[in-house]
Amino acid sequence: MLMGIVLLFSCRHESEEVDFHTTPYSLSIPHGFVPFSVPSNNPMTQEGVALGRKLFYDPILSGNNTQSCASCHLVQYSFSDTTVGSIGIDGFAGPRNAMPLVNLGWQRNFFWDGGAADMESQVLGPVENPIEMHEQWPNAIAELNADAAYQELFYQAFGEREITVPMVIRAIAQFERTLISGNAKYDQYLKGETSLTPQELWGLEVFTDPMKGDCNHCHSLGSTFSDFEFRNTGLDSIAVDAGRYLITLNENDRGKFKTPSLRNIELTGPYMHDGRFATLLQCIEHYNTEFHYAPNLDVNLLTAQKGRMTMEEMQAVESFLKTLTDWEFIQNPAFADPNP
Amino acid sequence: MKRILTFIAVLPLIFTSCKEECLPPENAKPKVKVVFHTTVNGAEVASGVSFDRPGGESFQVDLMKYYVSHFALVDGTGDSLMINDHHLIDPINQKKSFSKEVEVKSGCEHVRFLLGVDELHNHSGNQEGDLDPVNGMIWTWSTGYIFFKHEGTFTDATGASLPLLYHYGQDRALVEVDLPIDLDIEEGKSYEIHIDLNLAILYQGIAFTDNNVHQSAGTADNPWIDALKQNFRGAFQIVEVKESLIQ
Ligand code: HEC
Ligand code: HEC
Repeated sequence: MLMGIVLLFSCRHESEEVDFHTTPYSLSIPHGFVPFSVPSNNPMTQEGVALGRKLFYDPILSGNNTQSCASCHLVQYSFSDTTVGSIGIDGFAGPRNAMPLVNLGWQRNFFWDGGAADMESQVLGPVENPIEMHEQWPNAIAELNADAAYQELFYQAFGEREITVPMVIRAIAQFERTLISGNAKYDQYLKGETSLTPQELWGLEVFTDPMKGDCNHCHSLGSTFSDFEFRNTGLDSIAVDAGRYLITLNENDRGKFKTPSLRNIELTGPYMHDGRFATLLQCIEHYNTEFHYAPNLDVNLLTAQKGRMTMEEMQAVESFLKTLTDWEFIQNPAFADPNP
Repeated sequence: MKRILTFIAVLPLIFTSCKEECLPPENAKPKVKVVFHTTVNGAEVASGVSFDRPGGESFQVDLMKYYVSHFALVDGTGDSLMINDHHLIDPINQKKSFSKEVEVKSGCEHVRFLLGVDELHNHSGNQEGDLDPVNGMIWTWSTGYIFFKHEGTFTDATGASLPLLYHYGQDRALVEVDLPIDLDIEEGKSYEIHIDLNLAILYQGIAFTDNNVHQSAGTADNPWIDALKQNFRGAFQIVEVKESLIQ
């Protein structure tokens, strides 16, 4: 009799384990892009991505249940927003502009100052930040665990019903890794599917000309249009927001910020870490004549001639930047709010 | 027939469980348990208790947590027995110890461990167990663990009560602790190593007045980090080693 019970128990246990199986999610890496790696403790699965997407859009993670990640990262603006932004991380930084979320899998670290060392860790920030979602993780976890539907979804994704912080940040990171854009007009042009107008081609030329735009020095052509380095672009002669310095505490990093992606840049204004510029032309004008000779000013700008681009050349660069807009990306049904 | 089949099916189970549980105790693997006592000169900290310090000051602990990592027993040749990876010690909530089954080792001369989280593990929140971010021991603006956290109040010499908030961390803050011991780890025995972290020594020479809030967030915190780091090395002491037969 006793043995029978033992057998029954072990049987039930086994059948439960058999229930749990995930479906691998294969990332669709665009033509010409080098695939990126994912951490071994967070492999991509259909279940994980679907759960991450649901969490991304669910205000359950915020203190008063009114704000979700999508409140500041709106798909129609390439997952950024249109406000200048008065947000800092734990009060250490000055006002910061919400960043677009696109091709994040290729990035090395996150936030304007690179303070988050990997994609999973990045999710920890906004939830606890008093100026963002203002929630304590133990509360958020308790709320999720009180929700039977979420327990089931977490079980499907990770094989555990007891929800933990690592499971939440892994699911959201999986969804973030799927936010891939590689079908802008510029990509189609590279694949020979379409042609650029003479104006756009001229803009590309100015963008890459070392004596003119020299933009690709930092915004390297490719998956992200970023070299992922931290640079001081002379926005202020004395940096208001110390940027990378806040993380490394190295004087040489004062006023440096991560070179941002230029993909979908047409949709993500206002621009720069503090949202100071409303238009792309203002950004280009900054590099042409407006930059300040700040300490730590990047050597590419230090040696650049002010006023080296004509108005026509700047407008051509603007036209080129607009070829980086991926309309399919912002209309992708897989990125939309899944919650009813 | 069915009965017999069931019996045969269960037979191997009985044998395997026997292998693990029915061994004669003298062949059992030794077990080492490490217990941390967080004290002020031997008196264990507890919530709401006030501790005096020199200069007519006193302090209280509302919250205290710290990481102990890579705890090892080291013999004369430098060979070591690892007892843990990372543990969060939380004396207020009686989370004070960890233990492990180990191989035998004679001639242990040192106990070595880290106060904090090693550089390899210090920069990702994507970790489980005691490194799970739910413990509130990670900074979210710059990924890194808080190695030691003390939140409470202090009363200065004039009787004014002020907040005390020390969040100690950053790679430069990692402390390697090395304590002498004389121990043979033998078959069939279990050991308890009791270690005291004496806050009176930790805070020796550290002024609280005008120095009562530190987040390890700027270069201004470095002198405070360096002073605590220096004190941490001397603040741990082995107070007792117990030995018993495994029953
Ligand atoms: C209140 C607005 C707000 C909310 C809510 C918010 N974010 Fe953000 N997000 C920002 C701002 C502002 C930044 C830039 C922060 C900085 O650099 O200090 C940012 C940066 C990021 C980045 C870095 C991108 C890069 O290229 O480095 C990621 C990824 C991100 N957020 C994801 C999320 C996720 C996931 C959530 C939900 C858990 C979330 N955000 C919630 C405003 C918000
Ligand atoms: C020295 C490296 C460097 C060069 C050269 C450079 N950029 Fe940038 N770019 C950056 C950095 C760093 C930022 C973020 C600065 C900040 O917010 O403080 C940035 C920001 C931008 C932004 C705003 C992005 C956003 O999401 O807000 C645009 C647009 C831009 N650059 C376009 C250009 C163009 C066009 C050129 C060439 C005329 C150029 N950049 C040259 C490094 C560079």
